[in-house]
Amino acid sequence: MSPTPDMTTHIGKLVLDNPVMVASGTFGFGEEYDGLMDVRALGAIVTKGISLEPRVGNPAPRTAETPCGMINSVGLQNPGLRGFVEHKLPWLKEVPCKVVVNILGDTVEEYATLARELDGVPGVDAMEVNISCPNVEHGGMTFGSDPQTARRVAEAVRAETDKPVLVKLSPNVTSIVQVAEAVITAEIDGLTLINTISAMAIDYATGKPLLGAITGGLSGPAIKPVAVRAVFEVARACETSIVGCGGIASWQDAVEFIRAGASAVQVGSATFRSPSSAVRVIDGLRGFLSHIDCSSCRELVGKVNI
Amino acid sequence: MATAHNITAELKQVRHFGKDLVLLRLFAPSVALAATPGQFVMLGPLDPRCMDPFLCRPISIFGVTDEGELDLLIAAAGRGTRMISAWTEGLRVELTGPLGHGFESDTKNLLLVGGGVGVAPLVFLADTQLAKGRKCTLLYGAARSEMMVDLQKLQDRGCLVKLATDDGSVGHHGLVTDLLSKHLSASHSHDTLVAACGPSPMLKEVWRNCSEHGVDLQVSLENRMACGTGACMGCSLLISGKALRVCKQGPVFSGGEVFQ
Repeated sequence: MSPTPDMTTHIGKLVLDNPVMVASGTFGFGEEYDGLMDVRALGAIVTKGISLEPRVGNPAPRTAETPCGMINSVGLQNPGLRGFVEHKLPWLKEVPCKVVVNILGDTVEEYATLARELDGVPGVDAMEVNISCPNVEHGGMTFGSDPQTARRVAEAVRAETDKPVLVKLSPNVTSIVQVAEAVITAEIDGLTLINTISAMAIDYATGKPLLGAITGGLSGPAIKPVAVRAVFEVARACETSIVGCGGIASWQDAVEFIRAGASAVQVGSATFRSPSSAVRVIDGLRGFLSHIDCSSCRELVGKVNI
Repeated sequence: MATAHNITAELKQVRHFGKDLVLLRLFAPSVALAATPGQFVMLGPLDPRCMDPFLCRPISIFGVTDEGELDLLIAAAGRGTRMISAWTEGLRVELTGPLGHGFESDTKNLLLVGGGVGVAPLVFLADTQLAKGRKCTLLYGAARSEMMVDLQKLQDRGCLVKLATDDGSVGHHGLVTDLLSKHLSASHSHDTLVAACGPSPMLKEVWRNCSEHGVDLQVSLENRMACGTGACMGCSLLISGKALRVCKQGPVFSGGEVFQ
């Protein structure tokens, strides 16, 4: 048994006290879970995605439970950049853990503007770019589905900020490695893998789709093996830091992602199931590292025995 | 607003009404003592050892006791609620609450309209209002008598309870909104608040009746929820161009907010 292992991790320039974050869209702006779990223990909070202007999101119903997971079609409801900075950021600033602001846009220019506006804002430690949104100028195909479009968004954000930038990739592509290779040429700090998987559920009796938007994104333990595979493939192909995300509900899941090549992980919809899920992942991971005599969580990154 | 807690609570008592309705009593002092009528809890995980079903279930609070017990009324409708209705005494379950924005009542007279399991938050409301010496009438409708919870205790405390069933097995043969319409036409004080919870066609009819008679209405809405805390925005309803989170801004809204 090693004494307290070093839990510090690096994602490019971003340094975290421990490698466990909470995923965008599953933790609001942090305040919603204050008192229900130890928010301060987290490596980082990734905020709900922010657009330039407020968005109301999609018609109800927006969630459907499916085997070992759920599908959501929230549709990026958020208070907009100004609403975020004025009403949500003040609380986040007081929390000792790192704050990663997830940003999204309809156009490359909107991403650039968000990055520029957030660049000088104290309390914002890093940005995570959601490229799984429709590109309004190009027929609504998502930015993340084409490697070169994804790269252009990453370059536009990188040009506007010196803060650490993560790009969150969509699994709804033929080759996530090709998208990853294109995006990292923008000299970003790391990749978050993966966003939700495009999905649908229908009420067999009525024939009605379970979501108001008809289709949505699948999350939860159901997608974990897909996410682990994505992390593994990208880690082998690319020289960049990876944040693993998708179905992590236990410390064992986190170890699996770290072994696949992730330097940090995000706990997402497991927080809905039990608010302290992420904190239990931190404690369990620390215990496991100590148990296997590993002095730092960084030593475990990519340690898959093939 | 009182702070919510995430706790593990012991199931002290399970009472079945018919085959589809179950009343759970949990020892949950931190939640019970902070709860106000109209608030709810997220109950679950339903099976901590298994990821399916994945999510917790939002359950409105039926009542609390001075001893820190929390009563939850559950209708076994889907797979999750059927699992809950099979729970037995002594089980320890995780829950988060109290959550959401409840009823706000400072009127002398309260007229409550509950449909099915929607009666739950109204019983809690009646209980607290009777304790303040206010007058309560509860109109309670369900499909059949065996799908109704026993409200004798509430009646004993002075609440007037009128029943309606679709099949006429008890009370008025017809809709609970028929009772409301009669009640409002006969007489109502200006200092009356109608509070309603139940299926949306019922709520719409309650709203129609209340607007016709110029009576204030508060409704408790239901929706599928993932987080229950306002974080995921999965339960938002788009009303008059605004996205209202049922779990945070609600579940209790003024009738005008929802139907106007």
